[in-house]
Amino acid sequence: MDLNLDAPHSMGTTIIGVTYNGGVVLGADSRTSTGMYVANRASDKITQLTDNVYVCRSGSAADSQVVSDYVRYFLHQHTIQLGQPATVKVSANLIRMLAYNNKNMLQTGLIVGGWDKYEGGKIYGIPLGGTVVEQPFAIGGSGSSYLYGFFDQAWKENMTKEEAEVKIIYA
Amino acid sequence: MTFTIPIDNGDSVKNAEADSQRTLYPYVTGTSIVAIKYKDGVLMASDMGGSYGSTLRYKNIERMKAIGKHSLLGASGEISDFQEILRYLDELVLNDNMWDDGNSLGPKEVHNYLTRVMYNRRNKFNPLWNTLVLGGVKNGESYLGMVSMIGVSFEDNHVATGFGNHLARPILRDEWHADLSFEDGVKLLEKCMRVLLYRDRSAINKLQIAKITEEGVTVSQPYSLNTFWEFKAFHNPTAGAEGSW
Repeated sequence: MDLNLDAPHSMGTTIIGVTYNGGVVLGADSRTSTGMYVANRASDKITQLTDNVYVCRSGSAADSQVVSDYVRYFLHQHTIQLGQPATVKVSANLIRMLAYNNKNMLQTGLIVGGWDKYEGGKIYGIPLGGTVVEQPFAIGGSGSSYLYGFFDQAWKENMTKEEAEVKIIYA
Repeated sequence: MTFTIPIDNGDSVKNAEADSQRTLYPYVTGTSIVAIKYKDGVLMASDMGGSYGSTLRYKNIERMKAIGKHSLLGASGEISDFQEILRYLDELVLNDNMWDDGNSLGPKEVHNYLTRVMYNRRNKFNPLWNTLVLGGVKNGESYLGMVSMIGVSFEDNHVATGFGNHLARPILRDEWHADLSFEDGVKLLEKCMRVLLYRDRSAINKLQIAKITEEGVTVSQPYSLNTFWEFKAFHNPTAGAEGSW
């Protein structure tokens, strides 16, 4: 079997973000693969950007980590200058800025989810290319192909947190 | 490889490295736009789909946006580039308003600006992967024009992008005439959009129609078209073919 341990670490991921009547729930699997080998079976693909905004990462592990690090840094400065927590929209836009302007070099799809006092719980999907799409729920990563049908049928507005969590774990 | 951090110097977001941007390929794309001039102004139609290669990933993308008071921009092609163009136009409109001189950018000016942007990007081998449709009304004059990703730009009484070029244009050439009423205009657009729905694989049955008149821009709520599937052969499919192959 061809192990090819020099293959770039890609995540082979499933990531999900769902809004419910009070905020957002984010979910992700924990496998990072290098070719056929599972490099890390306990990865944490949900990364914190601020107290109130998290991001689910998919695609190239390195690219998504470095983008998250930059955006966390920008948001930290922004929070200090603003004097109050950053909004989810601003976080999504910062990610978009990096994703769009470096689209030739980056290979990462992200789902930004969080809560702020102006808009409540919000989910923004940022696929390859740097498009920003605000959605009531978002799925991403190579594993998400199997979930389009499931969520089209299972999603409904104003779920409770428990209902949302159950759906995500099932998915 | 350095990681370019964009620096916003009030004009546009530039990259520090000169070489890193070359010909791209689109990721999330919108399909056709169809637009016509009518009695009171311009009508434009688009569906709300965003395709990711061959999969229809997003079904709620608005591909038509108002620009200033007098214009409407519709885009097909890469959605992230369309979002970037909207940012450029935001800046343009903001600066225009800041003059506070009673003048406002009309559709002709916006179209010209977009043509320059698209053509210059093409010259740098780094195109914005869109075909844009710009419609508007100012001082009673209707305007409808198109710019492609390579900078080809023109105006006409009716335009279409993508598949619409092949499927909608012939219908418009036959059935468009000056001074269409609003209802007739909408019917004509719906006829084109229905053909596109049947024959364009990346089209979805969720469309919006936008209207620009002297009063301003309105974009309709999304709705769907009726389609015809009552072919005789489907009514009794097993007649004459009992059992399997």
